[in-house]
Amino acid sequence: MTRPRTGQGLHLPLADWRPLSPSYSTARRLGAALSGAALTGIATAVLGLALGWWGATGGLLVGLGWTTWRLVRAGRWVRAFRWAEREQDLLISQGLWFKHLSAIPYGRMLSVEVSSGPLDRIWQLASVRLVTASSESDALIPGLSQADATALRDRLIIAGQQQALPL
Amino acid sequence: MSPSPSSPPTPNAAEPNPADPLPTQVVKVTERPHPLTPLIRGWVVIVAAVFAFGRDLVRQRPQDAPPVEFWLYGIGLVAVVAAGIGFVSWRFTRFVLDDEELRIDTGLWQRRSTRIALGMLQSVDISQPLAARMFGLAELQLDVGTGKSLQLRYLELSRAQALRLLLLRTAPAQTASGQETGAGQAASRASLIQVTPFAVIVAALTSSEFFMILISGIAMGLLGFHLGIGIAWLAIAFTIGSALVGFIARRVTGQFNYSLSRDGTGLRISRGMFHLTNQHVSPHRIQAVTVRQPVLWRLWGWYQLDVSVLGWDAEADADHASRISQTMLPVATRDQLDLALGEIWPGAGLESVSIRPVPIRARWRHPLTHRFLGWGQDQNLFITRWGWTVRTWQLVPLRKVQSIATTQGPWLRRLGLVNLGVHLAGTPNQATAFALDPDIAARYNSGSESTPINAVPIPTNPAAPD
Repeated sequence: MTRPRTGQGLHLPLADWRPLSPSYSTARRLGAALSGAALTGIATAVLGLALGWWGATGGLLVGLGWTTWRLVRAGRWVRAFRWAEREQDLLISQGLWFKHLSAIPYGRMLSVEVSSGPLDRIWQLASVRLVTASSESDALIPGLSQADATALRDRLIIAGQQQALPL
Repeated sequence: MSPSPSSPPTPNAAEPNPADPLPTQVVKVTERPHPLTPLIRGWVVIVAAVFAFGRDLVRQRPQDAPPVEFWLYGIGLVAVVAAGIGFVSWRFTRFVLDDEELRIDTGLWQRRSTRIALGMLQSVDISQPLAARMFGLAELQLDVGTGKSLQLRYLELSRAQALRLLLLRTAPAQTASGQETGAGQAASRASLIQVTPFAVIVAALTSSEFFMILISGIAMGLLGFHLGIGIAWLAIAFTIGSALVGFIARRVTGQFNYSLSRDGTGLRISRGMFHLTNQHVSPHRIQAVTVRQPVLWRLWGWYQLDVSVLGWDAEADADHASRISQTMLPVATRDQLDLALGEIWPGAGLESVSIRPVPIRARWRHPLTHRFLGWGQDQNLFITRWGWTVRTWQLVPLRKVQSIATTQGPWLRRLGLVNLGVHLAGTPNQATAFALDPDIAARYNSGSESTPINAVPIPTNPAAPD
């Protein structure tokens, strides 16, 4: 699987493209479900107090619809995410409607952050972020297995040291 | 009472006589602020005190006001206290320079000793606020790369200039600018561009900011008229009028006598009517350049040139009121603009790179600007241009690019176009080439890979000079 289909337009270069961990879909869905449930509850309560039964029903329906939408999108978003290590840069391809393909040279890397939130830890997941001097290069790879994440971090640090570029 | 126990007495640490020339061989140099420093730093307080007391005095003439002597004693007390504080702070401030570092010692109770490794110095600038200028004094500003700069204030102008050369002679960072370095050449200065006050005034009157204020004022006036609030007219007219006058005044005083010159330590911007400011920048510190052309300037072919330097964005403001300005040329003709760009990057100019127009189908996404949109790139420079009322060019040296990204929303996907974002350190943090044809980018790229990302080669040679 070297050239995944991403719809028309944004062609991906040939590279060893890798997906996120499949269990990250589950983690993201759980996150979407929890936040959706909380927001739906709040919306239902507020609209119910303000507008009575009609408001509560409306809030509940809208909240449930929105949460369902997010649940569906969460899995698709994770399956659409690809990343690849090339000789001199890291490629990240993401997004469903707004597609985004970024390339971050290892030499520009200032630091690498590995982090793991509470939901991530249930499935032993971690995310890796490359920090450059630009606040715009948002190089985040979420949902790797913790072993993959630390291995990637070590490879990135070595590549960054070997190819370091001045500011 | 020893002023600073941390500074052992050295042969050159004696009280400097202003008439002495600074030694050429740096062993250790100790500088004191000029004795008038507390007066200049405190003059605002004193004037404010006199003004506040005086106003009350004039206003409350009736018998219930305290006698005149009360106010005089008050002013006298404030003056004595301020003078005492000023004297103590002057007495315990010293600047010690040796081969490796500059030390700034301040404070009587709360001692502070700031040390700056000379290797970290990015630039040393001289500026003269109005009060200091009246006494022939100046302050030195030390730029250490990021964050706030440090000030040495106030020194006699000639000593400030000598100390600046001494700091730069010792600072190895200056050799990073590549060619001509050394204090010998630092003194030789070649003037490149002078901006006349007339051009500054006309530029301010025709700038987009001026019209923004004017248009918002007219809109508010029409709203007030529509609502039938007659008195609001006066208030709005007064507010807008003072805003416009203030804007012009700030522009003219801040940009007065703007000039760009070159010396051994890089490019030098000097400007100011009352408060004289100098800024030095080595071209290798410039992350990106933005050229702007408000709509009226198209008539007479004027441009504004802004540079992005790490650390400057924290302090700069658009009105040129602060000490740092990101503007290198507030207004320039095309020839002057290309001259300045060539000084920053040899061979660079607004059209040194051929600009590719965007595909005609981009008009569905950019109906007003698709004729102007474009981008181009050679081995050194990436250029993108965009904008409707204010035409904007962004020039980015490829060796400063931090990362790149192509993005595509649903609309651009229908049109088969992509946006290419070039990410930069500092402000602005991105230069975007809008509405690229992915196929043009692919054809442009000599390799077999077919993404616009490859059209912008990323700097790969770690040995390249920064």
